[in-house]
Amino acid sequence: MLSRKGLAAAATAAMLSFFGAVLPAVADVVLYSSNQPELLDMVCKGFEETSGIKVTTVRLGTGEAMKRIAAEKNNPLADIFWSGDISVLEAAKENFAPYDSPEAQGLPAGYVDPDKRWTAGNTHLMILMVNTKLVDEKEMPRSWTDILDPKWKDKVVMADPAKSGSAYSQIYGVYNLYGLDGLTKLANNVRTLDSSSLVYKGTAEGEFPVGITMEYAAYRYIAGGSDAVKMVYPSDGTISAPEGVALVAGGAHPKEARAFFDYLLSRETVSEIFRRFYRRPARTDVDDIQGLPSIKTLKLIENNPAEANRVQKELLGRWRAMVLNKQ
Amino acid sequence: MNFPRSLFSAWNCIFAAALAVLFLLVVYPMFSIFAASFAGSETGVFTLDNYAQVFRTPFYLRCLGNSLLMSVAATLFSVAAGVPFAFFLTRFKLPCADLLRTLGALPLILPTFIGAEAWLLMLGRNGFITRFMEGAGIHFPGIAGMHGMILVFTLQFFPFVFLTVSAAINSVDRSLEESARNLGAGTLRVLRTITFPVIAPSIAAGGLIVFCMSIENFGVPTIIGGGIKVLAEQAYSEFINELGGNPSMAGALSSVLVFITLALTLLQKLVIERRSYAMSALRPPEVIRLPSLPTFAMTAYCALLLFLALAPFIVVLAAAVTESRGPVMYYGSFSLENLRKALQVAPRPVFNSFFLSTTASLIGMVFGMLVSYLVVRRKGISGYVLDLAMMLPLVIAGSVLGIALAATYNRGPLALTGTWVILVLAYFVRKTPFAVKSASALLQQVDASVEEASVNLGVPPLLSFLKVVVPDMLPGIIAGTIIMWVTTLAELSSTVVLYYGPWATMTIQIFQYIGSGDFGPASAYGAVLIFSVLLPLFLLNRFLGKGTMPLGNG
Repeated sequence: MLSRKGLAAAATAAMLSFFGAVLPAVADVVLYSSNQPELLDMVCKGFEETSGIKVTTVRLGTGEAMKRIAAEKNNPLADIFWSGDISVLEAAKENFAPYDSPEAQGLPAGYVDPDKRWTAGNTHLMILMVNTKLVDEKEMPRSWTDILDPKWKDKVVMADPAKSGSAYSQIYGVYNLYGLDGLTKLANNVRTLDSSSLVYKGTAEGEFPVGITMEYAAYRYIAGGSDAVKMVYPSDGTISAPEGVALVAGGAHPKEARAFFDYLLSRETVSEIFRRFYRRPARTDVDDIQGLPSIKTLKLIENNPAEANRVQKELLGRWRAMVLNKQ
Repeated sequence: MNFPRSLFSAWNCIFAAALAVLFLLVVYPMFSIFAASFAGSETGVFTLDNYAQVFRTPFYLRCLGNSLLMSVAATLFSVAAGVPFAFFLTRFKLPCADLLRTLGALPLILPTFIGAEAWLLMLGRNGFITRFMEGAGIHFPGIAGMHGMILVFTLQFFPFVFLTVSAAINSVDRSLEESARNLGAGTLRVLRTITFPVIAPSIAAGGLIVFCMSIENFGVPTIIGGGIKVLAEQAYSEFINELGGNPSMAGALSSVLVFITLALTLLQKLVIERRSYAMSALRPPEVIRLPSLPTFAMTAYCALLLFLALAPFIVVLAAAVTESRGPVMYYGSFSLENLRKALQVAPRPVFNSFFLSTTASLIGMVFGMLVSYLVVRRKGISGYVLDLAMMLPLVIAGSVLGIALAATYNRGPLALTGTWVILVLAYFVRKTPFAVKSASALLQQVDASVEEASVNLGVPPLLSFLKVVVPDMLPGIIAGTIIMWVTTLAELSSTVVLYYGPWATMTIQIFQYIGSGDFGPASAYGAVLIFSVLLPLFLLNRFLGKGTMPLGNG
């Protein structure tokens, strides 16, 4: 009887799935991160190979991760957080434990928290990602000033700065360059999306002409062979937004977490991440890669995380009002 | 109803336990959300400010308008597509009708956001059909936007209408229409005065499911909305938003959503369900054979609708075996790399999905069996209350219920947040209504005197239930369990707010890969999901015979 055979097969499958789900080893280090799955996969595997310590990742948005870490304060479920703008880490720093990593010794100022509660292993450059099928070469915006022009109204997308640390660093950078007036113009021109990934994805797919996004994310499409994507490093300044690593205070595996922390900042790891995932290293002893301009050739705007935080509430409130009341 | 005393007390305990479970998993957690919605964001004092803000801010009003427009349109289109589909396939002799009926339920198994992504790949600004059309000189502005969301919801949800309506058509006894005809009524008059009134409540019931499913969905608007914002998306992002978010606002937005769906559900229950004609068809209506031209036209309609609804499946299966470099897909070059990775390198989400949905469905099966018995056999207010409470989870957006559960069971003796148990509980409570619906539909047709006789002969009530009632309900229970299993596998909205650590499911994996633009790995998991769901659907058809599908509202 076919149905009986089918039942037996279903029962076997159910049992297999049960054991499969129950058996996997207990993780040693729990990582919260919003980084892309392959990157997390690479560093976790790499670390396990060199140290024998397993890493379990929980992939979630930066804002959500901060919320969870704060909520779990009395019973921390995570050991380490990686990804997220340093101003976000700075704002939540009471939930992080100080750690002075030997791998952080050579980093430039601004990449290490004076209290050592966060350290930036790499930095995101905020660029304009242009879809060349929708925007002519000679029409392409070249600078932030271009983007503020009303002719780009509703043609530019960015992530919601209230939800994404990188988007906050974008508006903070524009605010530093052109003040509240510039910010109002930006709010009038952009459509904000709920996550930063929607920005580069939609721009690459041709849903939006221009996206304000991170260099690595846009370059993934160019490296993958897409002919529809071009990157513009704004001539009035490329915003640099360092991305941090931090130990969760009271995490259950501090020793293992510190080892993982060192591993993430090591020259080998950041070089590999740069080569395969195009994330700019904070270390100065890493070779340039083909296809991306050397960071020395760019005019950089470096946000001060403590200052960015001081004005954050005020700035986000104003931004919110600008966007909410945009007709 | 004359329950013997002993039966009454045994079932009384079960009744109380069922209500307690629903209270703990639905009513009590939701209370925290309602409470937050009435608390001032700074002060915490009772206020209506949050609601005032929702209804005064142009942005939120626009979201509300978009949500309503989107859901109403999706409902109307689903009804317009699903009713003829059901009618043609049940009342007329069409070639391949069995196949068409089986395929007709298939769109339900694909998570909606994958459908949205697939349509974007076909008809987005840079979609392959769009490029083809541009090549032929036809300008197409792209599918992203309101029309895209409505299209996706219509094509993925019309099966709800199809399933409920075909069950109803089949329950019209042949003699009714025959008598009408014998009394001299023409075909149209019979349709208008006999057939339509009988199936109208089912159309409303199917439409209501479509409406609730559309208005609570945030994955589709995120992916194919093209920047058009809806309420569910805002409620969800207010909750997960750290910097500018506020829980009071999130509570108010979610509550508005719940009020809308709750009001419509009550309306449906009080006004429409009362007019439903309970009947068990001794002889299902005759299947009419028409000349070849109309037969062809009807078959073509059904096939075309199915082709559109299943197009995303083709895209996903094709993409799963396509070479990809990072986010860039190379259509035309074959590669098993993504499938290999999904099955070999990272099989854990596959196991998780199976484990969680199997556990939740088994619990739901037992619970659903008992509750449907109580709902059908217990007359008066108490049965009605249980029925209403049981349908409540259908009304609440998955993400909202998930957040409520996470917040409620965060600490104390029942600290479940961050464990797999909370996922199972959320799935269980969200999906059991389907099991109750399909089991109680069957039970309504079984005379209560049989089990009473069994009890009177001295068999203990629960044993009587197991020996006499359960065998009669069995097809409905199996169907309901499989529906729970299948829809749990495709569940995103509550998982995304509740999953923790190693408990990511296939749907989570797909959602994240789609989020980062990697459609290759996303489709590989999508393909695994599709095949793992096809097997039980196949079994379902085996068990229940041709063309019988659950979800009928009886």
